[in-house]
Amino acid sequence: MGLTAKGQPLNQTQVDTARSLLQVGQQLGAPPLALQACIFDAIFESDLGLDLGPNSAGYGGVLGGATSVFGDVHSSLHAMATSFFQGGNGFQAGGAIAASGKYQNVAVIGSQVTAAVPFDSQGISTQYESQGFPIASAVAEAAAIVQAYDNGAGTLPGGTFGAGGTGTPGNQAATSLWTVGDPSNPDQDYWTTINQYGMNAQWYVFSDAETLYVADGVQLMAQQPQAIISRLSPAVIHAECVYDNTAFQYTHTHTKKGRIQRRTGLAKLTSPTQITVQIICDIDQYRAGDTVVLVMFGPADGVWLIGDCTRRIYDPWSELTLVQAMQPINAASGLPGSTPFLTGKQASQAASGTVMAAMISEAQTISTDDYPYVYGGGHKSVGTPDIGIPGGNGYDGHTVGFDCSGSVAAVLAAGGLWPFGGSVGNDASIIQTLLGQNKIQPGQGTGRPECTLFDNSGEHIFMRLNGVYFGTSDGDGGNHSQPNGGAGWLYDSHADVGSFRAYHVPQAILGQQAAGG
Amino acid sequence: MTEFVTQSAQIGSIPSVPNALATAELDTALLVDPIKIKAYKDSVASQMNDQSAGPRCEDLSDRIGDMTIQTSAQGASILTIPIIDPLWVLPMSGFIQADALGFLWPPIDINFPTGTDCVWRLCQYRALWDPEMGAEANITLTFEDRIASLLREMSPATPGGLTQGSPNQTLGGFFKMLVDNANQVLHLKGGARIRLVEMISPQDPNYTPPIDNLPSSAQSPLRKNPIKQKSGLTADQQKQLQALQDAVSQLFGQESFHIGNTEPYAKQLANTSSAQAGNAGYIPNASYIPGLGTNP
Repeated sequence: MGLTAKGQPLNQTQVDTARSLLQVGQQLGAPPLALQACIFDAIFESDLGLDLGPNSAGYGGVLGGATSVFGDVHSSLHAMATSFFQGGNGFQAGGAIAASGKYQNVAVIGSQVTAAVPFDSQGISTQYESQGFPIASAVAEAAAIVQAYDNGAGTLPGGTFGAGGTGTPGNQAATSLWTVGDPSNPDQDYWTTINQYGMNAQWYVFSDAETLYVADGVQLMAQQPQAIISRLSPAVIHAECVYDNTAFQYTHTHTKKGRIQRRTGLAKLTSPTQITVQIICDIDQYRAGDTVVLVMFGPADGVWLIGDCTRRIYDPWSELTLVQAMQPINAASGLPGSTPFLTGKQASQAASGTVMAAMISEAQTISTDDYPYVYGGGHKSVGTPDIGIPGGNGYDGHTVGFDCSGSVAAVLAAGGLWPFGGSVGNDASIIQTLLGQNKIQPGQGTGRPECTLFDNSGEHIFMRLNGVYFGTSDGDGGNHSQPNGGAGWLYDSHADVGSFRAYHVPQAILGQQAAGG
Repeated sequence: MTEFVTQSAQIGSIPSVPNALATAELDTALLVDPIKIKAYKDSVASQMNDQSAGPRCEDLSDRIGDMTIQTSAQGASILTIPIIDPLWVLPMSGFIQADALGFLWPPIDINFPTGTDCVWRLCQYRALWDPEMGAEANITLTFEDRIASLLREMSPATPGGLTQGSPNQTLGGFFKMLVDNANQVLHLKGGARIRLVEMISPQDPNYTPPIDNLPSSAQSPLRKNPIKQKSGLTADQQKQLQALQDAVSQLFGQESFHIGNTEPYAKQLANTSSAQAGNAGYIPNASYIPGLGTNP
C-alpha cells in the first residue's frame, strides 16, 4: 500500500505501533483529525515507534511522554496514547480529541497536544520542522496510514485485529500482545474478550454443552453432517429459502478481473442467503454449529451450517436457521483469510477456474481421449500417458496409456494438487504424500464440490468427482464404460468401494483457484 | 402432522424414500407426550429448588410454561423458562436472589434436556407486572451455557485473572490461556471444567496445534452426537443420500415436472467444466437437478 514514515516504507514495528495507536484512538471515539495528529506526532517523536528514547530531557516513548509520568516509556504505549487523545499527564490542549474541534491543521493539533515548544507563527512545533522532513509530507503520510487502517476494517498490512499478535516474529514486541479488555474497558470479562476477538477474526465461538468451540467456517463446514434433510421428507414441515442479492454488504468490495468481488460481511446470524427449516426431531437432535446436507432444495442443495436452532418443548419440531459459513479473516492482512474459495456448485463451474473445475476438465479430457490401460503409464511425467513398464499389463512397446494411479495423478495435477510433469509413485505414495501435505483427509467428501480418493494400498486407486467415479476401474476390474477399457469416467453402476479406504480433498482446497496446468 | 405427510405424499407421487428421519422420531405424539413434558418440567423445577438459596417452591413445575432452547453458532446459547407467577412470589420469597452489585447470585444451574450434559446457568431474570395479564407467564428466567457464565466471572479484576497473553502468541493460544486460567482460578474440575476445542484451518497464522490436551478426567463425553471431530458422510448417510438422489431421478422422469434434456450427468458436468457453455450440449440450469449428481 506504499505506507511510509519520513519517506521510508513502514517496517513491522512501525505497522504494529501505528495499529496500536489507532486502535486506542478508535476505542476512544477519536475523529480522523485526531487520529492523523497522533500518527503525525509519533512520526516526529519516535519515528513511529523505532526510537523510543528517553532523551536527555526525560521524554520518550511513542509520543514523547515524560518518564516522570509514564515510567517505562518502552511499554507505555496505551497509557500514553490515551493521554494524548484525552489530555492530561503532560499532554496539552485538552488532548487531540478536543483539539481537533478547535484546529483544522493536523500539524497544529499534534504540536499543541504534545506541547513541543517553541511553535512557529502557525502554531506548529519548530522541533518537528528542524528534523528536516517536510511537515506537509508527514501530514500526508499520517493521513495515508489512517486511511489504510480504515480500509482494512481496523487493520494494517502485517498487523492483525486489535492489539493482538499473530504468532509471527514481528509480534514479539510488547505492544502487540493480546490483551483482555482495552483502556476504555480494562476489566472486560473473558467471555466478551473471546467473543470480541473471535468476531474480529470471523471465527465462530460457541458452546456445545460443556465444550467451548472456537472454529472457522472452513473447518466447521468440513465436519460430519448431523443429517441429510430431504425437502420432501415427512419430517420437514416447513422450509423457506431466501437468496437476496440486495442484502449483500460490500465490506471488502474490490474488483478482480473486472468484476466486483462480493462478500457477505456476515457479522451476525443474518445472511443474504438463508434457509429456515422446521423439522420434526428429538429435542436435542440439532444444535447450532452442526451442519446438515440439504437435498431437493434446488440451488441450496449441499452442506449448510446451522446458525441458529430453536426448540420449544410443546412443539415436536425444531426450527433451524441455516446460513453460509463466514470466511475467516487472515490475521496478517485483515482481509478474508487464506486463498479465496468458492463453495457448492459454483466451485465446479468451468469459468470458476477452481481446483475442482480443473480436475473435472482433465478427467473429461482423459475420458474423451480413451487411452487403454497400460501398467506404469502416466508415471514418468504426470499428466502424460506413456508406454508403461516392460512386461506389465498392456505393454507392447509403443501404445501409450495410463494405469490407475497414473490417471488419478494426472487429474490431481490439473488441480495443482500434484506437480505437473514430475514423476509419481504408486497409489500408496500418492496418499501418503497428500496426507503429509494436508491436501486430503480420511473419509469421503460431502456436498459440492467433492473429490474423494478410494485407495486399496499398494493395489489400486480411483477417485470420485462430484459424485461421478473416475479411473481405470472402480474395483471390480477394468473400465467397461470406455471403448478401450482404460482411464475415464466410470459408469458401471456403483463403485465397489468395500475394501478401499476413502480420503477426500477439503472443500476449502477444491474451491481455491487452481494453480495446476 | 398427518396432514403434512399426506400433502407431501401427493406431490408428484414421490416414491418411498428410505430416510433415517422417518422412524420413531417422527412419532409426534411421543415428542409432545404430556408425560414427557411434565417430566421435563419436574426435572427443571427440582433442580432449581435444590439450588435456590430461598424457600422451596413446591408447585414450581406446574407454573413453568413453554421452555425454549435457542442455540447459536455465535455466542452463548440460551434456555428460556417462562413462569406463571402473577404475584411475584418467586422474587419476593427470596427464591431468586442477587448480590449487592445486582449480579444474580448464588448461581442456579440446571441440566436440560435430561440425559444430555447440557448445563445452563441462570443469567437473566425478568418480571412483568400488569394486573390484566391474568394467568399469563409474567416471569421469564433466561439461562445461558454455564461455560459462558463461568467465563463472564473472569476478568483482570478477578484475583488471579489475566490482563494479557504472552508475546508471540497465536489467537488460539490466547483463548486457551484464558480458559486454562478460568479453570484454575475457579477451581473447576471434572465435568465442570471448561473444555476448549479449536477447529481452525492449519494455514491460519492463528492456528494453535496443541490446544486440546486436557487430562482424560476433563474429557467429559459430549452430548449424544459428538461428531464435530469427524468429517465426511458415514456409510449410512452415503446410502441415504444415494437413495434420495436415485428417488428424485425417478421423480423427474415422471410426469410431475418435465425437464427438457437430461443427458448423463457426467457429460453435463464435463460441458460445464470445460468452457463449452453455449454449445448444444450445455444445459445451464440442468445441473440443479437433484439425483443427477451421482454416478448415473
